[in-house]
Amino acid sequence: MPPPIPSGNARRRRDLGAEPPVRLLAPLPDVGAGTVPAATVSSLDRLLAAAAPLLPPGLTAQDCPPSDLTPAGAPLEAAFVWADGEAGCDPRLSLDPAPGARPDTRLAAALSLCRTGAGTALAPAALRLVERLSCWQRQAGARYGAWAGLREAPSGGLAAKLYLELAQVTKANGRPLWAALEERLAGAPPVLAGRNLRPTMLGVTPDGGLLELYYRADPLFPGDLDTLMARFGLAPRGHEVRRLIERLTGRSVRFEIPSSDIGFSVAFRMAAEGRTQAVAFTFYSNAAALLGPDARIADALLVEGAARGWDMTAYEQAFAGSAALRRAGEAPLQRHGLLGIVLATDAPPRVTATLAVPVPPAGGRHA
Amino acid sequence: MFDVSSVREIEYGASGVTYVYQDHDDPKLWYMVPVPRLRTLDGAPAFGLTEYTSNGGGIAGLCTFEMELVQPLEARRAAEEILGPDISWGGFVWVGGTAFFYYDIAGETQVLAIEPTLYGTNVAAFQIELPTAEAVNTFKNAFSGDEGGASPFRVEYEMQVLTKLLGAKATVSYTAEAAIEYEKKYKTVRDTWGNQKQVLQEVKQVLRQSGAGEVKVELGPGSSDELAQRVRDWGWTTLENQVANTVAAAAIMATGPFPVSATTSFNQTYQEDTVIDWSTPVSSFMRRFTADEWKKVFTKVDNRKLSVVFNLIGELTRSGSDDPIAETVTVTVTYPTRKTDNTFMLIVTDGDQSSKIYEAPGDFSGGSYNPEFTYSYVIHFKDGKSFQSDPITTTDTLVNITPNVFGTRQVTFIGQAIPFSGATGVRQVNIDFFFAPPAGNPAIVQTKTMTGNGETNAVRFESFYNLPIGPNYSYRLRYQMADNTEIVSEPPGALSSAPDYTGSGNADIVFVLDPKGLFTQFTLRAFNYTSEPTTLLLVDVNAQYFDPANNGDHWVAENSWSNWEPKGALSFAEPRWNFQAIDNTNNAYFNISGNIFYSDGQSFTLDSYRQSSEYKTLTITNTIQNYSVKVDSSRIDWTQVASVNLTMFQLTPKARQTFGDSLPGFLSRPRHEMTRAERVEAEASQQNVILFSLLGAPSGVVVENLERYYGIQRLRSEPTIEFYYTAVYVLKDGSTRELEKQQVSGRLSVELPPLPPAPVTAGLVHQVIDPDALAARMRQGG
Repeated sequence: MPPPIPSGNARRRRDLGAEPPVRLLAPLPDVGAGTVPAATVSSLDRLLAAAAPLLPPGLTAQDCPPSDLTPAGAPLEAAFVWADGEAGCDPRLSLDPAPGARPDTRLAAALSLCRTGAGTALAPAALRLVERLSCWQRQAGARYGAWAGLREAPSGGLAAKLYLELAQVTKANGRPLWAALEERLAGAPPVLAGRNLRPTMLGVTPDGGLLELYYRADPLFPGDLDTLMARFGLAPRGHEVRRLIERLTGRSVRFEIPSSDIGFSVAFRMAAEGRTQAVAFTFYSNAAALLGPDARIADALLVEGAARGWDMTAYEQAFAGSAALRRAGEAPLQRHGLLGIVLATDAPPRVTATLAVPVPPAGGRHA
Repeated sequence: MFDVSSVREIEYGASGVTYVYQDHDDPKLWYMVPVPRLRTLDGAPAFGLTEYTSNGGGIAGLCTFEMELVQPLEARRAAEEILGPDISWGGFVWVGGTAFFYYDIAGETQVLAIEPTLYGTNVAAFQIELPTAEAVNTFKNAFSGDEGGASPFRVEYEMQVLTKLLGAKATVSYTAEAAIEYEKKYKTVRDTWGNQKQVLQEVKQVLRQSGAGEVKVELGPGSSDELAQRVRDWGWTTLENQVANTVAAAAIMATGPFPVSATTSFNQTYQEDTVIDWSTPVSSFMRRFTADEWKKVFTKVDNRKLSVVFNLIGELTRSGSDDPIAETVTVTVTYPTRKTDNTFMLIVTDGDQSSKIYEAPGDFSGGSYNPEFTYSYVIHFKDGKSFQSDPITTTDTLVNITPNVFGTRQVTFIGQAIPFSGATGVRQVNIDFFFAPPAGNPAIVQTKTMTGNGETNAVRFESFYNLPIGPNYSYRLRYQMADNTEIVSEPPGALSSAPDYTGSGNADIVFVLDPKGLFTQFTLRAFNYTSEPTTLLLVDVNAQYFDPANNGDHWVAENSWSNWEPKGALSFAEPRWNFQAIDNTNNAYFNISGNIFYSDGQSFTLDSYRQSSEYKTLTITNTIQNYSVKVDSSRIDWTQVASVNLTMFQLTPKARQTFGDSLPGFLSRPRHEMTRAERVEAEASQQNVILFSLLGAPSGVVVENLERYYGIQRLRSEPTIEFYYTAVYVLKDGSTRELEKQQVSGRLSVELPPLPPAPVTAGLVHQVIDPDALAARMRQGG
């Protein structure tokens, strides 16, 4: 089996998606009112404006080092989520609070940003998890340590999420240290031994109520997704992933899912007595590996969005704005990160895409 | 001919699904795609599942079975209920195909691909080694219990058939530049070229991720979205196969160090009515066995057995008459545990008896399972003659006996979009075709003429010998234009579609296109290896494209890159150079002159550096300098010689250390004649490999004396330029001669002799050249 092909440029990709965080902060500012016509202010603009005061000032500096968060080297990435019959695009942000810094420094910065974003300290359960994973990171040597996530909560205000790198450290017997945690969350033994599944990141909300485990995998067949979902106690819906991929690529999927660089995540809601319940499965692919260069990714998403009545305004604006990420004299860099298909319990499938975006000036509105 | 836009899905029985197509001209004539079914032999299902209880020699069990394609009566009835009772049924003529077995072990999907026979009922024999007890149990559960029910495992056939594109127009484009750039960037993590299936997978990824491939479909009035998706599927498959075949041929025939670099951009529009090879995927779930059947098909044994599938593969009938090319093949297997009753017969005339699963008790005399066996075969031809093969020792569990061992070759040229009208159009296409016959048979360049597009105007070359022939052939297209000029298009050589490479056996189809307007790109790029302190500072070059066969001494296109300062590890000179040309990669070339300045104050002058147009990239680095030598073929005695295959290469620095002056003998052979292990070693030790196919002329036509050039790379630290070459002359009497093993120094070009003397010790010519002397020769234009 050939190794997955990195995307876009020489920088490494991030295994990241986004699931709903929960904590709220202050209501979001109405950045559109009185300043620019309301139609030009997208939901992403509102989110960026709300997040701007929280962002480290160094992110907008000319000499800010490139970040490993996105293939383009940008420290900020927006995620859009669309579903039939749902308004808006539910934007979220992922952030590298300390580009170029050591993983432990970045983890501390991400933790701090999440605290500020959530307006409260992390719950003890979440903190224990952070300590455990940071200990593994110190033992194994981490690549990035952590990222921070922000989104608008349903009732207004900001919510935060912390993404922790799952270091690949093993015991003397060769068993990964994360194996016990992974099996406890999954509640069932591992499956698909031949697909080289490996968890790479853990997302946690500040209250510790929602965990999301992100995996990388060798190429998968749609039927494999059913096996995975069954392991997590979720209904088999691999055919929905297949159908959406067929629509986005315009081609039939008869064999493997047509991407060399894929993964998935499972979101767990923490229940009483430490029990967990899987509430969503998300299939991810490196967007370029599935659809090609940025222009083709955008084209596929916009065509599908138009056909299904999705609100593509914020995405369209952000894609146009992301062209500013190109540095003078450099070849164009891949601006899209991941493309995902979210299967939450009892909900129709959602499509998500991530896009590197310029960092807004602190306190100002995103241009 | 069936109409692809008329496809209709037909449901039949409990869960069967197939497809029917209406004829393009006769509305009452329909074609049904046959569906896979498990074969029955002597009243019993052709299926066996064996569980090894104690000593499986690395596996826990084995499943073997044979499938075939049939048109179920109930499917026909179901179709006739919808289409009317007064319809009649036509038959497909397959030109290629693949059968896939989909199964899963522990919820993990697996797919096994097999090439079915293309005659009879298209039998495909599958053999699956089951590695663990869990896998054996999975198979047991899949095929037993729930009598009469469907197994979760299924078989899919994807068969190709010629038809016309109707109801849609498709444009298929490939930008080699994007793929080349992508390949180089990711080469460190992806280097699995050389195997067709792997190549195809890799090509798919390159085409998608790099954006090098694109398929656009325009639907005609009234056509459905489903047709759009099917045409898009076909377009992508066509695109992937075209690029994959080029890459596979480049890897196998060693025409380049980076096979993707050997690809050429193209942009082809398939208008409605264009003849295409359409694919018809159809699948069906396998069935579970009754309790009685299960007792017969499932066995438990202590020790692993030897189990080998023998198959007759490919087009084994004469096109036109449908006569079989031989009667029978008698195979003898030598294995320590079965020394009698070890001969069996495959019958060419009967598709149902074209495969055999041969079994023998496992040999454990050495303490562990011995997978190695020897086989030989005798082909019995219709004229009473026979051919006895040499013994072949292998551990392969699938043995395909291919059409070339029968000595048959059938290549059909079909005009796809040639403008056969108008004042600037094409009057006719003369096709020169050549391959090396078995020793002792006359070797001639055949010529036939094409005067129209489509299957009815197809031009076919077919040869039937009673002795094996090699898989490669070459051809040249000579377009006679309406204005009485001639355009020559000659690819570097083609490999016949042996099963390792594509799916159609020895019955190849070459689609012939409009000769003009080939979109051609040339890429100039620079590498700064970080291991070297000296870097590239400035590059200032001019490049010209020559096609002497079509344009004589005049360049066709020209471009300059002035004062380019390469940045970083890898950079590309802008603007990229694109122009229109004729597809003539075998003898067109680039002529490049200019200066390269290094950071240590030194410079290097490229003065009339020439490289074959097969390479559309020139890479300048801070470690090597580029030179070229002329290949002088003017002395070849074409009165006696039919064809010359010249292979040239350099050794990697590591191989030079390893081999010294003693190169392995197999390096003098073409890669398609090497064993797999030799091919791996050749790929690791040869670099800058190129194959020139020099083709004689048919009777009455003068052979063009065209100059060819070999671009050589010299490490800046090396005092001399060294390279190797070998040439195989195929004489008109069918014999072959090769160059003598020798070392040549002081000569500044490669001079091919009129005819190598016979007999000689065939081998590699090792040529050593002084760089300054070669540069001086290049300045003089050669």
